[in-house]
Amino acid sequence: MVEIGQISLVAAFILVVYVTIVGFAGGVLNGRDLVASARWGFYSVVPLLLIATSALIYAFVNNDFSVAYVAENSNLAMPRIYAWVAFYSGNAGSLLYIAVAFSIMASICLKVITKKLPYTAPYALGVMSMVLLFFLAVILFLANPLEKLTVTPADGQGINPLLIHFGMFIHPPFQMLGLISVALPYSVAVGALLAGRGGRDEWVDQGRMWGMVSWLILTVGLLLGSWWAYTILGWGGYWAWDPVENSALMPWLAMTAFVHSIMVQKRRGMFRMWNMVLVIISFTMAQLGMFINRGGPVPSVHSFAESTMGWIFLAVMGLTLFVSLVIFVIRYDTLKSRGRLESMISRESAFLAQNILFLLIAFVTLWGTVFPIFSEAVDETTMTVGQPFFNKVNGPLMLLLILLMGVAPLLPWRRATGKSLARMLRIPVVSGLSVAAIVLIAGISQPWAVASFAICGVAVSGVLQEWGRGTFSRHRRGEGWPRAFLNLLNANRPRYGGYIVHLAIIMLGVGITASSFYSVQRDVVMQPGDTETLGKYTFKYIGVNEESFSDRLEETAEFKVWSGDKYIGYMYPYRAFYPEFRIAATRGAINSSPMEDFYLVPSEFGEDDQAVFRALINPMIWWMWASGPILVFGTLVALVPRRRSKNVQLRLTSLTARVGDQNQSSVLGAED
Amino acid sequence: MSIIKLTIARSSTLTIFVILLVLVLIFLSCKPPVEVSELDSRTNSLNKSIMCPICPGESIDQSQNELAGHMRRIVREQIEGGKTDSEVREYFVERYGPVVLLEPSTSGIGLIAWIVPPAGLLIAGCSVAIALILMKRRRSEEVVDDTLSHNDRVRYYKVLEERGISEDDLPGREV
Ligand code: HEM
Ligand code: HEM
Repeated sequence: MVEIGQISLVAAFILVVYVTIVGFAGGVLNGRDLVASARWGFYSVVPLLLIATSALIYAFVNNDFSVAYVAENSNLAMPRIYAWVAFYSGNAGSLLYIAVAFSIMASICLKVITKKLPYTAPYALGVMSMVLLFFLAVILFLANPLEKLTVTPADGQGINPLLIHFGMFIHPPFQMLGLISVALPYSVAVGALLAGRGGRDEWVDQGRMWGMVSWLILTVGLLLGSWWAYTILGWGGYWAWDPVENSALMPWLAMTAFVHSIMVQKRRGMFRMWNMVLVIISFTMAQLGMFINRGGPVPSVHSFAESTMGWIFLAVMGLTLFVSLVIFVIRYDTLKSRGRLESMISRESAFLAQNILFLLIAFVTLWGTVFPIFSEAVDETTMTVGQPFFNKVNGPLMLLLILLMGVAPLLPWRRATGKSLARMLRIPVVSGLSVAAIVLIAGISQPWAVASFAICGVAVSGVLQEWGRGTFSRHRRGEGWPRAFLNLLNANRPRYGGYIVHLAIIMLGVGITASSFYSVQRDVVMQPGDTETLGKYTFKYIGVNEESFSDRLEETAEFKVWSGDKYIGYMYPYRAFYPEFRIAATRGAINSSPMEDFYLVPSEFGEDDQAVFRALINPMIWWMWASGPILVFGTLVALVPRRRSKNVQLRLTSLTARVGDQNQSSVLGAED
Repeated sequence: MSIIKLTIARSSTLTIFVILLVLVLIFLSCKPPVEVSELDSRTNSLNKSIMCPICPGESIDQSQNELAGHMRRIVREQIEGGKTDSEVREYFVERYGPVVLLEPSTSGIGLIAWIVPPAGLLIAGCSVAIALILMKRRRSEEVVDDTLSHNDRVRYYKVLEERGISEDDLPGREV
């Protein structure tokens, strides 16, 4: 099996070399057959890589420790079900995962754009296959997960104990695919640029679509990662501004900016250069993320794919950035803007402000992440930059962003008059102020928390106002309420789907604000039979249950918990110590409700039955996780195109401007 | 005309009402936050600002390491012994160097860390302003779009406004 995998890896590599050359050649020579051949070559890489991946999984499932990578990342004691996913727990295997997952997604993308963007597709194909080529080259020559050992050990070294958790099945696949899928909008955009078609806005729909797909995957990966950290890392938080966390956040920020600014190009033919720049920045940040994760210079808790080849990722990142910028400069004059900014106060300028704010947050995050290296190099004192710094600096910027998210969509395109502005902002401002009043009455007095809740209030009411207004105007024209609402959403899905996403982001914001300002925590030393209280919660330590395994000692504590007078039930926080790794994997016991989580986690089990526990009350964390499905739903609404007859579509894309005109005249006509 | 105005007035009152109702419902369910003792809250925030010297970039609050547990106890004892926050920090800096603080200092090279973000904000703000001004100066090639005379344009927006609809809801205006 392993040999078959090896052979298909080599075959895939050769095929991708062929595809890269022929794809570009086909684009340049305008050779249909060449392009078709390259395309089918690319599709055929998928089964080859699937075979290689299956071979690796097969080796894991069958404990084939003759494979070096399996021996390093698995052992007999590992719960069997994890053998199926352990292959992406280390560097080499996760690279293979990235390659296979990317090849599948890129094939789908390729199929779509071949139909929609026939001139751009060959170049996009060339770019995608270069990305794949890079990964396959690294896998084959530097980190081959299928390499054999000369002597087969009796047992492997085992997987990092922190990874024995349900999160292992979902977070890494999403997160890694999310990072690499940024290459898709990048390929489409750079493909269009190379084809000399960047100035025609035909690539915009596809760029936006793949941008949002990638955004969605990244977001899900981030949320799952935070959730995982919350349940397992044993300190009761979900985000620590760790370098790897930051490295996932930066491309996410840049992509969010991109999926917004691309709308301006679609709608107004503006921001053409800016969109190219954004997509290039996004892909650079994604590569930077991989670099930091795979051998970055900053120490991180999250070093599962640590390796010595970070510099290759860094070098390739630099090269990609350089080449992209060269292409950009060469094609610069194809990117002249069609529209003109009519007023400083308009949706267009709001978009620009919002974009810059996103980039600024990404930049500050980068700055904080690399500052230790900077201070070391300049001053020879290593400084640490952690949570307090990022909270102080990024917190206010993010609030500003949410404020903008609430009010900017109320601005009309082109220009706003002062009067209309006041009209639009009346409800949100009143709501924001009332929220501030309500939370003050409710006893929340920290200024930043009040500001944050008030801003969330502004943003919620901004969205509801837009929905309300559209629904009313439809209702007035004779549609029933629910129908009117659904028809409204359906009439402009990208927009109203986006609003659903925004609501989800506000839920996230509320959860983050409440839990960062009003989390309560206490470390308590207890003996069996002791009772302690925290806030309204009373918890009684019944005892601990020890169980010894070949690789670990599991200690499960038993608690009886009351909330006020109400008996909640038993809670079982758990800690497993792995002597070989000298790592303790803890798992908090969480009693979750929309209002607050009661969280219990063991820190130490000491001599004579004494144990240290940490108890926390984390307000409104539930909202963070609940925002996930809503966010996915909203993105899908915004993403799924409306079916239109071909004719209408043609007319609409080529004549958007004129259709707008017809609208204007028909509105005026109706008035007369 | 007056009928339209009336409906708009009614509709926006209703909107305000609905929105407020939702917000009040959300926030009425809020209870005042749990009171924490001064000791607890100070300990916690100090723990979050001190790094565990042997763990990669984790605060002693986060870390599961024994040393971190030990340091948490020291923090608590020192606060109980009446030391101020900065004295406690100083205590750890003396032993482990400035690295143990998770926040760069506000003097020396650490100051650069703090200056760059606001400077970035300033530069970002200026560059948006400049970009907008440049874009506004640019001559439009969008001929088709400018067929409405200025007066008509003004009238157009007025009509939209009176009807309480947004340009985006008109057919053919996706995104
Ligand atoms: C906020 C929390 C988290 C964030 C932002 C995050 C971010 C990331 C990123 C960016 C990657 C992809 C790296 C790459 O492809 O080069 C990744 C992969 C991975 N993450 Fe996380 N992660 C988080 C929490 C966790 C936790 C708590 C665990 C486990 C205890 C975990 C386990 C993994 C594993 C096993 C991989 C795949 C191997 C690797 O590439 O490192 N993550 N995560
Ligand atoms: C963290 C996530 C997000 C933030 C902070 C955010 C922020 C913003 C901001 C500040 C605006 C107003 C700026 C303007 O009009 O320029 C805006 C508009 C918009 N956003 Fe987002 N956004 C996020 C995610 C998304 C996503 C994922 C989508 C797409 C599904 C989306 C769709 C939209 C749409 C359609 C608009 C324009 C609204 C309109 O045309 O009325 N947003 N967003």
